[in-house]
Amino acid sequence: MADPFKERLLVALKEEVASREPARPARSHRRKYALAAGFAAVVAGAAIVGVPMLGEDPAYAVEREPDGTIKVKAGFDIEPADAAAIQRKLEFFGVPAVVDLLRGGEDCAGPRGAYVGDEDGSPPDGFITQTDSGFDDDDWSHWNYRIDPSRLEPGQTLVWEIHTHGEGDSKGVTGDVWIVEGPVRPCEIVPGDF
Amino acid sequence: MDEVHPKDVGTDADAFERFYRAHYERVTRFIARRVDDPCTAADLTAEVFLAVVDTAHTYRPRKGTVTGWLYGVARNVVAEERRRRGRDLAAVRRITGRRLLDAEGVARMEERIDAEHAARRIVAALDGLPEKTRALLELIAVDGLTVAEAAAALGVTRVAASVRLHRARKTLAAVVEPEPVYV
Repeated sequence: MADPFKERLLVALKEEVASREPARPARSHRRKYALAAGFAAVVAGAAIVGVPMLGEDPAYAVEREPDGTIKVKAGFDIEPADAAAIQRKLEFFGVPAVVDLLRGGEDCAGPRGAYVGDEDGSPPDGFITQTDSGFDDDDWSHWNYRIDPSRLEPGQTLVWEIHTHGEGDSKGVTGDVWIVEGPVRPCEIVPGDF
Repeated sequence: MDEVHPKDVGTDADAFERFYRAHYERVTRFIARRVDDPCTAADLTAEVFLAVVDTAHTYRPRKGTVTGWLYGVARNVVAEERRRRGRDLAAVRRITGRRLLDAEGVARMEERIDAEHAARRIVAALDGLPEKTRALLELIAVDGLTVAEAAAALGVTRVAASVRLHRARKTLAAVVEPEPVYV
């Protein structure tokens, strides 16, 4: 049995889709839903051994695991110098990297180069995975990564765009991660969706 | 049904139609488990798919399944509607779903709402729980998501979701035991 509402709504929504610019949606919507859906994650808490930082709540951490993978962590309080330090440390561990820090409303113009990976630009499965360093009742949104450098081919570079945005309870840090084959375009800051 | 990838859904009308037809029932049932008024359900159905159009480009396969992502979007839309109603604010809608309803549409929506009566009782029973616990339990116990899908919908890791679920089960038992619901 046909559902008239379903068909009418489809027509209205398809008109909405057809009327849109092909490139990007309204900024307010992406920010709202991306944040609320949990792409934002406040990184807090556990001190990580081996971090060249003072204090108990490091803004970042990069450490190599016994299995050769590298754990990377970034927090909301990260500074531009920290992004540079992450890049240096990744390179020290043998991972060619470009790390950029972006604040709310900023984005890097894309593409940054020839992306390697899934059709949407995501790195191949297994290159980067989410990890937990622990959780507690008040903050179970730790967002840490584990990178497997053995999956990088010669000539490829890890590009990590760190975004901090929001404030108060909704503040967060997100990361766009790409693998680029060959040269990496410097980050040209353009208005962003977060 | 995850074969319709959200890629291009926001900019390609044909891709959107495939996605819409694949997920329409899932979305309307999700909403019927949370509201009992056909007009509001119609409005929210439109809002969820508009949000899909707006955010489809943000979907990343490595962050979870399409289903998990879609439920995350739907959950945010319903939560926003509740906040708005709590503050007595009228929504500014680009597409007002209820205006597309005729008598047949209302009857269809009421059927879904009636069919989800038991689920709404569970949702209501969870109301007093902490928000994060409630959200996780709703998605798993009420909407039938896997732990991995619920984790993706909420933007947390599977491990964190599993731990939270373990704790929440004890709470849930205390909540529903006095008045068991058989489905």
